[in-house]
Amino acid sequence: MDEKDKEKNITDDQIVSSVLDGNTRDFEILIDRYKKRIINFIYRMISDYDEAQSLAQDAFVKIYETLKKYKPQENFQSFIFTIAKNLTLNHIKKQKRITWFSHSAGEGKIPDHGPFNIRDSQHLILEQNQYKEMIDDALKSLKENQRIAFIMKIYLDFSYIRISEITGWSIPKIETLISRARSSLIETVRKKQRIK
Amino acid sequence: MMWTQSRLKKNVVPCDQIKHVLSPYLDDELDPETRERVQTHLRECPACNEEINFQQVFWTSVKQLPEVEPPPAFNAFVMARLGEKRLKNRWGFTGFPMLNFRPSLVYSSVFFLFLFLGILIGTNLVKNPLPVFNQTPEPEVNMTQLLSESMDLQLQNVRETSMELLATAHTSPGNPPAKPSNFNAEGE
Repeated sequence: MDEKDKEKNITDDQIVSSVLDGNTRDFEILIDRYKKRIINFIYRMISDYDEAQSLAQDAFVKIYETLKKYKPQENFQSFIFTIAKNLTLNHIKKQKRITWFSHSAGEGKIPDHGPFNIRDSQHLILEQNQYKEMIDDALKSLKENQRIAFIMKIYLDFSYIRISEITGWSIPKIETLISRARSSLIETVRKKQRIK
Repeated sequence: MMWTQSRLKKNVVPCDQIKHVLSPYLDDELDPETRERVQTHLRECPACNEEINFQQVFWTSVKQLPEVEPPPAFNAFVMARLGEKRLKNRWGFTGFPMLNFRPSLVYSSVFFLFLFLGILIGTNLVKNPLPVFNQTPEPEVNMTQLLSESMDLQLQNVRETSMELLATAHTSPGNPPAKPSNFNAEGE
């Protein structure tokens, strides 16, 4: 069994206790496990690749600093995504404050798509990008709480219980938020397609 | 679960109630009994069946949107930042977290400090105004005059000391008094 297979078999809790014992390098296993999901979660929330990867770095630093507070009976994903969610919401609040001071700051900004892992033909990429832009715009039009619940369900594939652990919201509330987000997204996309 | 699910259990499911449970149905979050009822309704209702088929295709396409990739040096960046933090902790200096998060606190405290100092100095000045000196311009110094004056002083000093010496020579015993310079032998 090589090193990579060993890493795969170790549970999150085992890595956490190893890091807390002083083996800081083991924290890199956790980064490898969750970096893509965390960056994508933040990216879907703010639609800015550079900011997303910078916030993801902040999230991992924060996770490392607060690792002592993590209890093994909790779910590690809930623990790290709570931190990522809080940092993202703080960032959104800050951005809102900045745009309040400079109204036209966000206008005319070219959406930052980041490096995608598409190996299709150029034609397909263009079509996919257009579709993606449409969904991104529709996502932006959602309320923050709806966006969080929707992204966690659709893109992270979290159960309602897990979302409830991360956000602290009740399950009926999550159900309502996701349901409204779906209706709102479908409505926006249908409107845009009618305009086209 | 939600109130709609409990209502669904009681009666035959009408189409408008299906709309309420569509989202949890798609998310696979319904309890088995409610799920079964919804599926029965979908088999019997072509309109709802069409809607659910459309939504399933739509959400699958949304789900399959391309993901972003983390930058290649992501791990290195994070580990470097952790290294910096550890170094800071080792030296026992962790900064001033309160101030780091609230720079406005620093600005306002500096402002109030200056305001306080200003008031303090201001009130002090009102009570004890600074002394105003009537400075007359210093007279211009004539170096030649100064030199001649000092020369005269020195000459006078020399004269006085020599006179004193002469006077002591006259008064001391065994020594005849010195003749004054204008002494006339014939007048004795």
